[in-house]
Amino acid sequence: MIDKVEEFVLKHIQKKGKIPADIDIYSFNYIDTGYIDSMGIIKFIVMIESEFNISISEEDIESPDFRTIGGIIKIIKKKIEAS
Amino acid sequence: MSKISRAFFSNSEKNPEKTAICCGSVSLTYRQFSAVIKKYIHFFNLKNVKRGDAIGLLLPNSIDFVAFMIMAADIGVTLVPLNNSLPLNAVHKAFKASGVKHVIANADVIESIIKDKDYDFTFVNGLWLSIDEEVIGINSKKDLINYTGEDFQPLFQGTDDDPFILTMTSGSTGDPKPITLKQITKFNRAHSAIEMYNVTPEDRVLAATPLYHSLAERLVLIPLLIGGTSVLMERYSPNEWLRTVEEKSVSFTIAVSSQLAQISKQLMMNNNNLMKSMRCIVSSSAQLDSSIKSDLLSKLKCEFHECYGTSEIAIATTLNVTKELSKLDSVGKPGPGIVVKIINDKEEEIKTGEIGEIVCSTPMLFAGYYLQPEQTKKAMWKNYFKTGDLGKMDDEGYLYYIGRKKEIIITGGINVYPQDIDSAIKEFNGIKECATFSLPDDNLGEIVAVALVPVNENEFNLRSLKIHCAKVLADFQQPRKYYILTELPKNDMGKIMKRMLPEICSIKTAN
Repeated sequence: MIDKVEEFVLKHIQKKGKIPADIDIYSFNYIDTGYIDSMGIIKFIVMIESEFNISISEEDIESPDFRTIGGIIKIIKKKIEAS
Repeated sequence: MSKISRAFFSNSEKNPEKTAICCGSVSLTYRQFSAVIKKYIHFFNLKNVKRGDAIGLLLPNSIDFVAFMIMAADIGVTLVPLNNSLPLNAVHKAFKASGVKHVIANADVIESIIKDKDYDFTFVNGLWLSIDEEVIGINSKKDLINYTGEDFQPLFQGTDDDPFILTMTSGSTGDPKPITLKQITKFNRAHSAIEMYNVTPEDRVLAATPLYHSLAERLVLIPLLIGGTSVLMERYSPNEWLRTVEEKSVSFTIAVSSQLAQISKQLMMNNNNLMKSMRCIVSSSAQLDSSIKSDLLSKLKCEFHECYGTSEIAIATTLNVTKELSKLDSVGKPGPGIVVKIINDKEEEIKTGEIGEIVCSTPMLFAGYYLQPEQTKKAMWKNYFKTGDLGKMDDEGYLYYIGRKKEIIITGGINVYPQDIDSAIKEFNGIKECATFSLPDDNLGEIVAVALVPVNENEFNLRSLKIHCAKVLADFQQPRKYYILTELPKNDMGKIMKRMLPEICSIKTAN
């Protein structure tokens, strides 16, 4: 399941271009760098909710974890485990 | 003969070592960029891409996208650029409506089209090109790069009269209504901005909106037509915008007003003198809120203009915010060669100061909705385009924007057509009726909101509707707020009164 989550998240985030190879992918802030912008965020969240049958709350969205790739993967995995 | 192709290749000969374009970590001189384009021209020619053909482009911003634009001008090909988050039903409709024969896209988009069983794409029977990963059975970027030949030269087959770009809008039935922009129109639009804002070859011009958007297409052409430098952003965020301006010494840009609202917030939090290289900024797409205008005026140390226009006419009026301080409520005066008038519902010209529909006659007018002469005729008053916006003029010729007559939502600078959202929601089981409307938003200018009446409120599942919308609508079309009502407000004729929805919904909690 871990691989599936990571694969899904990376596929969606990289629709506007590949993430540079020389950076630490897990701490990468995909929102501040515009990989998911304010236009794309709703679709991104709903697609995650639909794929993994979980619910992302306002609190999750506002947490600093949500803005990094490692953080969003962690949030999703935690919710899958709890469901 | 194509003025776009001629101008670009002539600049390449004059200044081969000057930077033509930079995007992300890549920067190409005119010599390097023209070599790439010449190669693409010959590759596409070899693959039977002919003058008059249409190519569907589903790509994020990249140098290749711009190379395809110059290549298309040189061959005389029409480009149909679409948002790459569009679902396949919308891509299918748009390709059909614009006669797309070839397609260039990322591998994942191409694979999803190939695997799809619901929509028949067999009419797209020309070249399929994946621009990143390889896809079995079709051409890839590798074939383009490895294509070698003797002394490639431009073909100069395209002409100014060739349809160059079809920009997608939506008709009242939700079907695509592509705006036809000829090569000469794009050329004139770029030159009009060059003249209005005194852009020179010394300028470094930033394009920060998606290239399927007509503004970004103009912004990349402006420097390339005069020997300047194009700075293209792959993705937008306010932080990235400020970083790019600083790092690439950007001196001119036209930004959509919602971007400027976000940038203004960042500037107000920062005391450093950012944007030292900036000579002139223009705000477009929707009128800036007056408080944001004052914030920007206090922070910007460069010329600051605001313009008004639509995709069909480009820039109609422009206001120098830094100089015309007594006219800040207006959207300025018409640019050179442009005439703006106000007409009433009977389509008669009305007096100064009276409110009516803004109409505009301009050398930058679109060439009509593609293969839709009736729709084109309906959009015109004499040789003036009916903008669908309401406004008034003052005695000094300044235009004041009042609001919208036509139904359109501008979110983050991108047009959303409520009928597209309505029809997507009506496809979902359990909806009795619905209406899409706009709500103001600090970040995006406007957001998409939906008021709906379920057939049975107890059985209605909003989460499933949201998932449905995520699947059948593009990212910019996603409703941000849903209001569940027991009925929608209607007039005596039974027509939904959308204008009442923001007020009715303001007392309800959005879902």
